[in-house]
Amino acid sequence: MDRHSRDREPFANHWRKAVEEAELAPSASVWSLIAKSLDILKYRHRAQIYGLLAAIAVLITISVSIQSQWLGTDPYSGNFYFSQNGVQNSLNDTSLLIGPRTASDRLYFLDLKEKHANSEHPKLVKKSSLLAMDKKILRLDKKEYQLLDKNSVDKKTIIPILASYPMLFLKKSLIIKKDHLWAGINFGGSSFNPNYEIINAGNMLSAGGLNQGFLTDQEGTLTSLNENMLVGINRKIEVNLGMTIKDRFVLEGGLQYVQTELVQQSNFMIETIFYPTSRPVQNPSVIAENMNKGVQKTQEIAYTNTETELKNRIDFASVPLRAGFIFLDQRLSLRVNAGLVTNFYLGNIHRSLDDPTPLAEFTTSNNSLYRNISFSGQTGMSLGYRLLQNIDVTFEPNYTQSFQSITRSYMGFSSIPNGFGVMAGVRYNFN
Amino acid sequence: MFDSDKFLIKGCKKSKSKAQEALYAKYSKVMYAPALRYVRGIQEAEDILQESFIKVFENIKKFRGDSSLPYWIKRIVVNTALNHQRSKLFLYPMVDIVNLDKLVVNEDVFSEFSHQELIKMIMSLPDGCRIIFNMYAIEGYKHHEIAVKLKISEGTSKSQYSRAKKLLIKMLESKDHVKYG
Repeated sequence: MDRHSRDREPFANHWRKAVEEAELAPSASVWSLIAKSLDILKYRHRAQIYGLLAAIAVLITISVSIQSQWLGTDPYSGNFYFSQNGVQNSLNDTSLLIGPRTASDRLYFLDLKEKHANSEHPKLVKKSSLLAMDKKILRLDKKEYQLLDKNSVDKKTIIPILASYPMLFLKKSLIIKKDHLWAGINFGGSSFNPNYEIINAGNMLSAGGLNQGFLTDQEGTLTSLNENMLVGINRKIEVNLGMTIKDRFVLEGGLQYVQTELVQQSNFMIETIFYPTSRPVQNPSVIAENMNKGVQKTQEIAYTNTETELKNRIDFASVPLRAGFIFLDQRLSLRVNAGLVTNFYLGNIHRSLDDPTPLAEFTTSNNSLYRNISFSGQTGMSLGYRLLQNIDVTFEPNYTQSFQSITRSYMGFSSIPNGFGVMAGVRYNFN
Repeated sequence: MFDSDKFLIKGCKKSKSKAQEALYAKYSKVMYAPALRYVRGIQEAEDILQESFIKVFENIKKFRGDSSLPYWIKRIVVNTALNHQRSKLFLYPMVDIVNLDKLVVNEDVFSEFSHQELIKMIMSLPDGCRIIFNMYAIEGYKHHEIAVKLKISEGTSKSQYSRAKKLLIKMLESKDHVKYG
C-alpha cells in the first residue's frame, strides 16, 4: 500500500502507520469454514467437469452420427471398384445397390445385365463364368477382377469410383458379417445429483436415521431439522462382456464397482454435561461412588445446536445390462445403448471434511439408511476406435437416472439420484 | 519449505490443502485487520475474511507475481469488504466540511493505543465515512479515485472523510491525546 503521496495530510499518514501493520487473529472457525467450502467447491468442480465432458462427448457423437449419415448419401463416399467404361453414368441412380463393397476384405457384385438391358449404355458382355453369377464374391487377394478380358473391361480403366449406398447401414442383407463377442474394461465417473428430499422427518428418530427431524433440548426448545446432501461424484470401474446380434444389435452385461462421494449437511443437538467448577477435586473412585448415590444431580447440562458437514462415501456393486444399436461399425464405431442397472449397496462411511479417519461406518443391515438393492436406468452413446486388429478404445458419455429412492422408505428422506457421466476403456474383440 | 511465498503459491495452484492452510496461517492475521476496519462487527469481518481467502484459492492460478502476494491478497480482501458494504453506501455530501488543516493530531498519540483499540475506533464510525476513511487514509486512494470506484462525487468523498476525521479526533480526544492547532 504505497499509494500514499507525500502531500497527504499528516492525520491520514498517522493512521496509516498506526494500523497498517496491525495483526489480529480471527477465530479458529474461519479456517475450518474455508476448508469446508474448498472441499465443496472441489466436488462441485469435478461434477462440472464430468458434465462438461459428457456434453462434449454427446456433441462429438451427434456430429459423427450426422456426418456418417451425410456421407451415406454422398455419391462420392464408400470404396469400391467399377468399370468406367460407360457404366459410370448409371451410378447417378443412387438407389442402385450395386458394385463391390470393401467389407471384410471382400468384394460383392450384383449382376448388371438386367439393370442395363434396356439402357443405352454398352452392356457388359458375358465373357467369364465368374460374371455370370448373380452374386459373386471375389477375393481381393486373388485379384480375380483381372479375369475380365480386355473386350469387356479395360484393365487400365479400372479406377476407384466413389459410389453411394443410401441408408446402407439399414440394408443389412448386403453386409455379411459374423456376430462377434468382446470383453472390455472401462473406467470413468459421473456427477451424482442426489435429489435429496425430506419426506417424513419425524420418523428419523425411531428409524435410527442421521437426524431426529426435530431436536428438542431439555427446556423444550425445538430446532428444526436441517439435513441435505450436496451434489457429489461417482467413480466407476467396470468389466463387461458383449455380443452383437444380427449385425446391428448389441447385448452387453457387466459388473461395476461404484464409489459415490458427496457432502452431507446436518444439524445435531449436542448435550454437554459438566460439573460446577467449585466442586472439589475427587479421585475417580469417589466420583463413581457419589454418582451412584445421586450426586449427579449437581451436574449441569448445556445444549448446543451444531451445523455440521460430513463426507459421505457410499459403495455400490452394480450390474448393468444394456441393449444397443450400432449406427456405424467401421474403424470408428458408434452405437446407442440403453439398459437397466441393478445397484447392490455395499456400505457407507462418514468422515469429517478435513480428516480422513472414518467417524462411522455402515454396512448392509436392516438399520442401514440405504436399500440393499436399487434400480436405475442408463442410456449412452458408445464411440469406439479400432486401435489394433482386435482391440478398440471406447468412450461413452451416459446419463443415469435412478428409478427409485436409494434410501429405505421409512428413513424419513428420499434420494433419487441422477447424473451425467463418462466411461472410457478398451475392448477386446474375440472374432 | 512452505514458508516462502513461492512454494505456497505453487502448492496452492495445485490445490494442495497443506499449502492452502499454510498460506492462510501466514496471512490471515494481517488480512483480518483490514476486514475488520471496513465493518462494524466481528462476525461480518470473519465472513469477509473467509470469502476473501476462498477467492484467493480459487484465483491463485491467475496470480502472475506482478505484485507481492500479500498486496494481491489485501486487494481481494478490500474489494470483498467493499462489495459487502456497497449496499450501505447511501452517501450524501456533507455540508459541514471543516478546515481539515486546523485539526492536528500529534503522531505520538497513536503509540498510546493498541492496534485493536485503533481498529475499534474505525469500526465504530458510521458506514459511509468508515469506508471512505479506510480508502483514503489507510489504503491511499485519492478522493477522485474513491469517487470513481464508489460512483459518488469527489465532494462527497471529501466531506465523508472530514466527518470521519472529526469523529476519530473526538475519540482520541476523549483520552486527552489530541492537541488542536
